[in-house]
This record gives sequence, structure tokens and C-alpha cells, in this order.
Amino acid sequence: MNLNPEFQRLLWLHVTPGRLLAMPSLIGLIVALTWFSADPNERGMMLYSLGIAGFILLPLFWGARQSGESLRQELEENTWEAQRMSVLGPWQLTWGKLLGSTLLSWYGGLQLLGVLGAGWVLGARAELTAYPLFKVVLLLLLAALFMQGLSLLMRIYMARGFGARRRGSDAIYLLVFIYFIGIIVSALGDRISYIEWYDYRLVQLDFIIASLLFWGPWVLFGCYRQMRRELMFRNGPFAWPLFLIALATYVAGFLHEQALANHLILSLALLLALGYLLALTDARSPLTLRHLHIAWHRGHSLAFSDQLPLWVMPLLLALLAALAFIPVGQQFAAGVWGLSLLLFALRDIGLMHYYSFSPSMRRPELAIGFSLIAAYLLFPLLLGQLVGKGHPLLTLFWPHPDQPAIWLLLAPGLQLLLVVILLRARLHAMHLFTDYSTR
Amino acid sequence: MIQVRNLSFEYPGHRVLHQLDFTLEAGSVTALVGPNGAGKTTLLRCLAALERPLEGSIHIAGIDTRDAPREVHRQLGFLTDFFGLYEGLNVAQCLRYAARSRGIPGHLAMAKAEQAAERLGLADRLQAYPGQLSRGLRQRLAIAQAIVHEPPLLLLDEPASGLDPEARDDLAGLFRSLNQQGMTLLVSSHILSELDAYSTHLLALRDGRIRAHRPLTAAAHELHRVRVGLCEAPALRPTGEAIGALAELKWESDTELVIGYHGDAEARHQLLTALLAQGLKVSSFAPLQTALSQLYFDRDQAAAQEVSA
Repeated sequence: MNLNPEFQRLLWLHVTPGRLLAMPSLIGLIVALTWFSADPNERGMMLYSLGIAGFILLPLFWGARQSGESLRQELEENTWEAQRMSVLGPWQLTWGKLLGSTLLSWYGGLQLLGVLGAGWVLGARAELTAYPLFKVVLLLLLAALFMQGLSLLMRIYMARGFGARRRGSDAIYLLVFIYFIGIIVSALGDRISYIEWYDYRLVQLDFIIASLLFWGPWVLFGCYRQMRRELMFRNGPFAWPLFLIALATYVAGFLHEQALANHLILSLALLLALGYLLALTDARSPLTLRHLHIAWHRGHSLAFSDQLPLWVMPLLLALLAALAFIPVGQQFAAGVWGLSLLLFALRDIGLMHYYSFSPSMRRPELAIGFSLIAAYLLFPLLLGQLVGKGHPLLTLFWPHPDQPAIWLLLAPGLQLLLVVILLRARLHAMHLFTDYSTR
Repeated sequence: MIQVRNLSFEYPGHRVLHQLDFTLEAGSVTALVGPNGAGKTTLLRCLAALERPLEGSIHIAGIDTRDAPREVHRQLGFLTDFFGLYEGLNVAQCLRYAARSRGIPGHLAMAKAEQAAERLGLADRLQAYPGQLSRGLRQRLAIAQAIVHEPPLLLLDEPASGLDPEARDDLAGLFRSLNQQGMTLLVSSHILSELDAYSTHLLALRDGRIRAHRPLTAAAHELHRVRVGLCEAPALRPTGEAIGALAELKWESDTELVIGYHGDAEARHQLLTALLAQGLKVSSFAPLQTALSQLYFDRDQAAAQEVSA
């Protein structure tokens, strides 16, 4: 049989006869324990809750973890290069990893859906009238698929930089997971809750299902594109900005106000935060900068856009959003504040690169962390004690919207200039701009 | 089989490969040699479409590595300096996966895996896990993975490092056998004597530039040296003319001399016969350098002289 080789490899690794027996045995034991320990009138509800909790634990948490691990282990065991040498295409590798690494969790998950269904029939149906069972099941299935895809996407993106350090990437993954589970659990309450999005008032569960149906394919597409990048294929330049615009539009809808300027503020904040996070977790390879430099000088626009780090585009769109305040929102101050935030973000990203390219620094992320804590917490607190709250000098560390525009732009602008000078000197010392073709 | 044109690759701080131009013929075994940092591994990674060159082009069996990296992978096997073995799969599974992931259809994968295992002497260890194998056997498994799809081209980065002399000898035999079956090999190694055992061509790099690229068969006509040890000092030292047409003759002590000559193994045999015929009590007769290492170092000295001049 011509199974996807990657899927088959992961089956060999994860789906063993022992595990196939252990999974139903374990679930059966827990069900029996629940059944006998529960009040006879609450057995149905208990089984229903057990089914949901178990599903969240297995395909959602463990499955998502496994899908990310499928790539991290490759890097750790030096087998990733061999995979890059295979003839498997990016899509084959993506779905092979995604399904192969999570199959055992789905095996347990389907049994837990059976438990959930049994609980529903045995009594939960009478108590929970807010949503039909199929919607709950659909939500769980889509949420698990989404989280598994997102986990793989995060691992592929972070594979070469931040994510190579297991603890750091585990912490980010855990934060995302906890946030996501919070959304899912809040939607599964026993009362119908609503959500306002732009001018619509929607049932929260339906909205989350629709959102997962919309964003799930984007996540898979993201995995596919990142996999293409790993396999030396060039990606087109349009999908990433299109995704960012879709995401900003989606998130802006949660601000249920009519004013377009307020939507722009939320979009700007989201784009800045995303760009910042991507820059923080980026591999920050000098080789990439070198290739960018060469592509720029030779006018190779496709090669340039292909090599461009992902954090650049959200910041570029954030700049556009900030500039759009002035004509669209008639809010000069808000636009300036947005620009000020962007300058601070660029300053930090410059510092991240400066530390990362230090020839003597063994753990640049520690220096980055310390600098950020000092810049955003310790110095402002100290200065606040010395000069008092609301002093213009505090704009050196954080843009207060009520400060004069000149301060808001000059304070981070000068810092950014200083960082650029330092970084440029470091890059020169690394011969990043040297032209070897004439030597 | 391999066509490289104007290939350059850079890391910040230095250019690793400088506009390399070369062609490797199908059926050759090319020794890729050079000091540490010469660019050997980077060149192999570019050839394997694992790195994107800064400029230039690489064609493997007529396929451009930039346009169709996955198609290029069908045409080659690559043994990297770390083996890339799945510790959780047994030898049979490792080889089946390697075969399938390199385009062998499912119904043929097991047969190909068994053939590769047979070739590499792993047939009796199909159920063993990589962690249970010695370093030499792990190396063999890695090579078996690289050739399981019977690619026309095999790239090997330091294949003999860490192996004992017996295992190296086996490896040389394997490479000769693969070459006889039509495979083209490009082997990077620091151990020149080992490369000499099976290479047909030399590709020498230094500082990212090609120092030499030539067939090794021509080396037979170049200068070779042997160190000759004697049991006792001769009463009269024979001259070069008396021994034969020698390129050089140098007495290093009363009982030791170094002789330079042109020719192959037959010429060396005649040299030994001539020494014995002169009444010299020969106790040892050791070729000083292999053809490849001699060629490599001679060219290096010539380059140094050019630079100093």
C-alpha cells in the first residue's frame, strides 16, 4: 500500500499494539471509576464532563504537543536534514506529520467522544439544553485540528531560532494552549452566550465554530508555506500580507464601536504585537541578512521578498495603519502614538539583532530579556519616582498618548537611531556588507 | 553528472565558495579534499540542494537544483557527517522509510531495503535498533539509507571518520563496488590514503577555490618517492644511473635513502629489483606518499612558491 511515508513512519513510532490496548483500558478504568463513584442521578453529566475534559487533554493538548514534537525531535536527533533530502513534497510532509504524530491521540479522542455521547444520552441531555450535541462535538473536533496545526506551525517557525531551546518554545506553546482552552471552555457553558462582532450579535459557540472553519485552513496553509521554505522552495509574496489583513480585520471586529479609527487602533496593536512576537522568536540569522543585502543590491525582488523575515510585514502594515489615522480617523494624536509604538518596537528588534550577532555573547536571549525588563519596567519606575508621573522624560521608555507629538516621536526615534548605528557597526565588523565578487 | 557553473556561497565574514566551475563525469569517483574550512561540506550541501547558493548554478543529471530540488534528491544520496538515524525504528524500518521517502513505491520498498541491507552487510540485523549497533554498523546503515533508492550519484562527507582500519578497508571495497555498478561518487575526506584506494579523480579546494581538478590516473607519470632502509651501510653507494632512470636519489643516512621515480607499481618493482641487484641489503621499502596525497601536497607547494614569487 502506498501510504504517505512520513505518516507510516510516525505510525511505526507511535501506534504500537501495546498502546492500542493500553488506551481503551485506561479510559475504561477511568469511566468505571467515575460511574461507580458518582451519584446515580449525576452519572450522565459526569460522563459527559469526563468526555469533554478527556478530549481536551488528549487530542487537544497532548495531540497538539505531539504534532509540534514531530518536528522538534527531527531537529534534535539530526534527522531533519535527511527528511529535507527526501523527495516528499511540502504538503506530504505536513499532513504526514500532522496526522501521523497525533493518530494515537485521535484514537483515544474518539473513544472519549463515545463517553461524551453516552453521558449525553444517560442524562446530560436533560440538563444541557443550550447547544445540540453535534455542535459541541464539531467544536471539539475543529479545535483539536486547529491546535494541532497551530502547534506544528509554531514549531516549524521557531525551529531554527528560539524554538531550538526547548523550554522557551514549550512556555510559548503552553501560554497559547491555555488561552485557547479558555475560549473553548467558555463556549461550552450551560447557557447560550453571545458575542458581538462588528454589527452582529452571534451565538458564541457558532461564532467560534465559524472562526475555526475559517482559520483552520489558514493554519494548514501556513504549515505548508513554512514547510516549503524549509525544503528550499520559494514562496509567493502575497499570502502573508493577505493573511495579516484578514487577521487584523477579524480582530478589529471585536471592538464593537462604529468609529473606523478605533478599529484601526486595535488592528495596529495586533500587528505590532504579532510583529514583535515573531521578531522575538525569529532565528535572526546573519546569513539571511547577508542574502537580503545581496538580493537588494542586485535588484532580485523575488529572492528579496522570499528571504524577508516574517516580522517585517506586520510592522509594515502597522505603519500603514498608523499613517491611516491621520486622514481616516482625523486623529493626529492617535496616529502619532501608533508611530511611536512602532519606533519602540523597531528599537527593540534592532537591539535583539545587536545582541544576537555579538561574537562573545553565549546567551543573547538573556541580555534581550534583561534589556526589555529594564527599559519597560525598572527605568520607568525609577524615573517616575525621581521626576514624578506624567513627566515628558518618561516618554523615553513608554509612549504616553497625552504627551506632545514631538516627544512621542523624538524619544524612541533617537533611541532607534542609536541602535541602528550600533547595529550597523556590528554588521560591518561581521563583513555583512563586504563585496567579495571583486576580490 | 554534476555541472557547476560560477558557484559562490557566503557566510557573513567570508566567502566560502568562490565562483567554482567544474564538471564531474558520470561513473567517476572524485576525492574532494582540502583543509578544514576549505568549503568541502558547504559545496556538498549546495550540490545536495540543502543550501541555496548566492550565485551560480548547479545541475545534477541535467536538473537545476534551484528549480527542482526534490527532483534532484531522486538522483542522489547524501551521507552527512551525522548519520540521521531514527533511533525508534529498527534497521528494516529505517531502510523502508528511506526507500519510500525517496520515491520507491510501497510494493518495492521492502525488497529495496533488503537489497541495501545485503549490500552493506546488515542483512542479519534487520530487526536491530540503531542504538544497538556499533559505530561502524551505524555508518553502514546510514550509507544503506543513502543508496537504498539506487541513485546515480552518491555524495559522502567524511564517510570514514571514526572507523577502525578494517572498517575503512571494507568501506573502500564498498565504494569500488558501487562505482563498478555505475554509481558516480563524490567523497570528501581528510584521510588521503583512504581516498587513494578508490578515487579516479581529485577535486582539491582551498579557501573556497579550486586548487586542482584532474584525473588521478595521470599521477602515475608524476614523481613518486620511496624510503629505503638498509640492514647495513653499503661499502660503495650506488649512483642513480646504476639503479635505473631515477628522478632523484637522496641519502638520508648511511642506511636510509629516499628515491624519486616516475611510473606505476611495475616501475616500483623494477626499482626494488635494481636495488637488490646492486647488492644492497634492503630491510624496508616504503612508498612515502600516496599518489593522491603527493599530488595534493605538491600542488600546494607549487602554489605557495607562486605566491611567494
